Amino acid sequence: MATIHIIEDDWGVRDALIELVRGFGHTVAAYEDGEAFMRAGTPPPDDVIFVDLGLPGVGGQHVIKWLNGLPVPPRVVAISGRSRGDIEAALRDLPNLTLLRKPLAAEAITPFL
Amino acid sequence: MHTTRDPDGGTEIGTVSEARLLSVLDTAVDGIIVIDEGARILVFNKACERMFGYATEEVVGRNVNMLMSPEHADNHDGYLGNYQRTGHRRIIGIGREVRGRHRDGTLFPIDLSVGEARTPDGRQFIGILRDLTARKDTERRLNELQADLIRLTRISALDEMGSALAHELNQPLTAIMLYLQAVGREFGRAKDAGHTPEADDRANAILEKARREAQRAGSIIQRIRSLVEKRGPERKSVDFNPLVDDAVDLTLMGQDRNVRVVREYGEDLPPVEVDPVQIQQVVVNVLRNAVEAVRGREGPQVIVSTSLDDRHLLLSIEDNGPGIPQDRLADLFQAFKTGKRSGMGLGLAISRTIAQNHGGELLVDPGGDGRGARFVVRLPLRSPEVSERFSDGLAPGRDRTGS
Ligand SMILES: Nc1ncnc2c1ncn2[C@@H]1O[C@H](COP(=O)(O)OP(=O)(O)OP(=O)(O)O)[C@@H](O)[C@H]1O
Ligand SMILES: [Mg+2]
Repeated sequence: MATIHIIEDDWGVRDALIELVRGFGHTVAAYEDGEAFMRAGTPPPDDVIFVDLGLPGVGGQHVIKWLNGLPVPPRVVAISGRSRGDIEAALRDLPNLTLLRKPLAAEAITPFL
Repeated sequence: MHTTRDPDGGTEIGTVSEARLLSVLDTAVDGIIVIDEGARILVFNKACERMFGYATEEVVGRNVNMLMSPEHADNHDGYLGNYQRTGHRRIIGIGREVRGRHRDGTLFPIDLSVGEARTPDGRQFIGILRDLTARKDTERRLNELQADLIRLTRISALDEMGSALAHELNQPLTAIMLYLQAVGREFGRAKDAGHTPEADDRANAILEKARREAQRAGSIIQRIRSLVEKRGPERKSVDFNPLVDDAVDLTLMGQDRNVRVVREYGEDLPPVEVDPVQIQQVVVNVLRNAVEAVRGREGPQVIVSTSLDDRHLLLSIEDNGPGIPQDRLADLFQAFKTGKRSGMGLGLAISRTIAQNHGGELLVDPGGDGRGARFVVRLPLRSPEVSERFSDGLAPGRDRTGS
């Protein structure tokens, strides 16, 4: 069964995402930063990855590029609480990316589960 | 006809020259009072009349303590007697700020210096008085302006932090929404499958976490508010490390996450008596500069450390940015001198003022040649007022009235 990966450095947001995704009956793997996620190995193609853009260390956009470089990239949903300008700058060379802005609308996550 | 010297003649001549002397004294801008050994007023010039609201005739011959604040009035005869017995000087030849009592009872600050003269009639003491009221008013006005300025820079810092703040509030709000959604699902399930104690516990646990996130949002707003709201200065004994840590968190809200901020806090630091909000303001200003200096550089890093030397608490903020060029150094701490497009150039000026108001300093090691800048805030372990109060049982400028 597919695993939902959550890469989010904010404890509260991470924990809330875990609760919600678990509530849907999915298996969850959560990480505080991009390095921890990449160390854990390449995720299979049918996994879904929620990644915060403003991570400490390796930024979210690097994680996304790393995933896009995989032979069969899994589904990626970027999350950010930054201003539009900051986000556009971060994602300049990442078109077609699904992006959710914080605060997340209650129904925003579920379509991806 | 007397050819011999009239014993009263001396007095006569004395009176003439005394009258001349008095008229000279009356042209003096400063107040001049002469008293005898018994503290009786002999001379009271025009400037004194203006200062105290008494006419000369009303005071000459009376005890000088009528012109003093009550605490001094009570002790003055004692000082005088003590000086005559022991030669121990409280004020003679030194001068200090004391408070005078106007005819209408109000107390006002004066700068008083006292000299001593030995005359055939015994010892006399000459006091020169300068009314400090005007200067005090200016000082107070300056303090008020300074407080406004400090508040203004806080607001400017916040303005810049505006989007960062939105981001910071986003986190708990996002968490709350997700938690509520998760609880909603638990309820939906309970409706379908019936309540179980386990499901209820789960829902309650999630609600508790949502509550905690709401509190977190509230405390962010509270902290911001405490920085922005207008308030008088205060002194409190506080633990230094948590104070610094809090301000570091505040500064880093939503800042570039790539900047590594290392916190090296000294252990067992004694509490320090400061205005906590002002000191946090210094941390915010200096740290913001450091973060701005390393932005976009390789391996950006800032080290925040606290430590103790024998008489001070030290806070050091060191970055690995470009350092500060020699030619910027001269006016680094001057207001409105900025090397940034959007800077107000107030951060360091205000910070140094705050440090100095605390009896401390803000020092800089400019670095350069591959080294970043390092700023050190030095705060005395005992605040100046406290040490002064203890080192001198009599601190005339700081007497309290009516308490
Ligand atoms: N850590 C640092 N490294 C390099 N230059 C610095 C550093 N800290 C301060 N400066 C220089 O000193 C100048 C004055 O700093 P100051 O904090 O007083 O004003 P500002 O940052 O320009 O504006 P603001 O009022 O918004 O703080 C800065 O513009 C910058 O050029
Ligand atoms: Mg600054």
